[in-house]
Amino acid sequence: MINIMIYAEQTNYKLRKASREILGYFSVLAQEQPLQVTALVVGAECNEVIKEIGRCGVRDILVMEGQEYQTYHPNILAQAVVQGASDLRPDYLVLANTAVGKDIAPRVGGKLGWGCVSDVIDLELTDNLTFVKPIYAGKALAQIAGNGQKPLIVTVRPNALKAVDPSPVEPVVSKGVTPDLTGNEHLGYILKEVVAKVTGKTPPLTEADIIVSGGRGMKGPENFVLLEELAEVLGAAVGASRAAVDAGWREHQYQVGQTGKTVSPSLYIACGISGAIQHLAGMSSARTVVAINKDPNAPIFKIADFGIVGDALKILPILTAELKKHLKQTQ
Amino acid sequence: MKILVLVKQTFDTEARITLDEKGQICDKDVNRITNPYDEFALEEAVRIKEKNGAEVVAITLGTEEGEKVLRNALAMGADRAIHITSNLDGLADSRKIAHYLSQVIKGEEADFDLILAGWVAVDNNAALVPGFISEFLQVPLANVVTKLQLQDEMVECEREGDGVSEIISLKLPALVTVQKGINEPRYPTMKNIMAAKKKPIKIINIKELQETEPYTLVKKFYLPVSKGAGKIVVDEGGNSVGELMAFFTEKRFI
Repeated sequence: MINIMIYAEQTNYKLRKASREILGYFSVLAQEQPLQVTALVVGAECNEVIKEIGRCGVRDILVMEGQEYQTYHPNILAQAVVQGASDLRPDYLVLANTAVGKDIAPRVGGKLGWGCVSDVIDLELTDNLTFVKPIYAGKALAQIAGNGQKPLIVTVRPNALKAVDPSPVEPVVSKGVTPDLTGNEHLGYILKEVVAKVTGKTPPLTEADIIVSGGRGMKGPENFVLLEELAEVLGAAVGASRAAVDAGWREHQYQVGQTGKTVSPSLYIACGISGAIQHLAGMSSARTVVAINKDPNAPIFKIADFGIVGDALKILPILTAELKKHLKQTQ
Repeated sequence: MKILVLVKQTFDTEARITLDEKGQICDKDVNRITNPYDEFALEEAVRIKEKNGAEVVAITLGTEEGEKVLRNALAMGADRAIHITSNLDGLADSRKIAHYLSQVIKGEEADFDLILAGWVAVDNNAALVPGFISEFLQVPLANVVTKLQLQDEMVECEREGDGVSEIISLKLPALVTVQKGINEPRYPTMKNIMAAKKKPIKIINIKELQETEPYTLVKKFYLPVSKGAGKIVVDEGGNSVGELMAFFTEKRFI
């Protein structure tokens, strides 16, 4: 029996999509394989998240509830996860490779004396788990395993695991003991202010199911509104190539590529992006790629499932209008 | 004030990756660079030095070829450098790397005020070493920082979360990992490149340090299966949109 503990991350009292994917994946795997799956929830108020975890097919839930978890503090959260993991002694502690997951995984590993493998996109179960991790931004892949029997921490890239259809279960909740932080609240790390950057509608690039992305062929920052309009119709996030970011048209946090975000959406629409190798590296795990570019020899067409040789500035408004029309008809 | 900067040598982001006959990553003829995120860390350290005065020490762990990144760091303005020589490559176990770096820092560099590093390396995309080091050294860590300012005994950081940015104040000594956008790294001048050749690099062979086992192992490497090109249409006056709509329908995106 392999013991898996999944840290179920939440934002605004809701389970994050990336955590839902992991919980569902392991609950389905546990129907056929000798796995014990437990979810760990840490938050100020967890009822909604607990229900959602049940819908992902995971029954056993360890909950640590407390006001100290209202706003994100990496050390306070890491200590709660350490407490939960020490109580349960899983073989693998699995987190989503989100900003929070990335931030706390090595801290938890450092505190527990466990190793860590991050940003995995697939896994295989034999006697133990082995993991597949893209390296050089997806230009190659590495199969990675733990060295011996020590517990291991694993972070899983959002949108990467194969989609599953879990059977909902009635959650069984046990309350965990939250660590006492008296006199040690801040640990030299004081959160002063949180500024929301993205409106509720737009998913973060790394978790978006559809991404509309623009490059040098967009000609200027003013034309990104064409991408935003298309994104709004599709419920997509807007990305940019390094050329567009270096030109100052978009902020760096929207850059897709080896020196930006690595993304794995179902659909990636590249507009005016030639497809430099470092850009392809960041989006090559997209399931379907659509490219619009004037240059028929642009490298992006080599990996596109559907390519249009043409001017993105002219085609985008027509596409957005067609999609709007289509949505109206089907509503 | 003493600032340590962790630098890593990586493959050029334009490099193509191939496997040799043994299934290992082929590193012949691959141009190597300083991890781009570490250059932001170096630039930030040198700016603090120029503004407030500080000693900047660059540290790397890796093969002898890694000297190149240290010379680059010295040319950008670091005062001296430490090279932990080892045959461990850029894909080695993160906890193990953090163990060795922490050991050296705890030794002769324990009086640091600030450690700066890139938040991630472009080769293994792990983003783990700084987190482990912050635990091993017991110092606060702010990750993915896009703005940084020193104030008395604190460093104020603006960091990037998922869809939010946070203002964090860390008590020194502290560790900060930086993100693209924090600054524009300088190109070293010829004069500074020449001067860097005379700056000291201390070599520490990894065998002199207390050993640790890796926690993870690479079983094998492989290359992604290329799916091949799909359909290409040439647009004339917007006529391609209909075909694209049909493609979206076929793939059930709409």
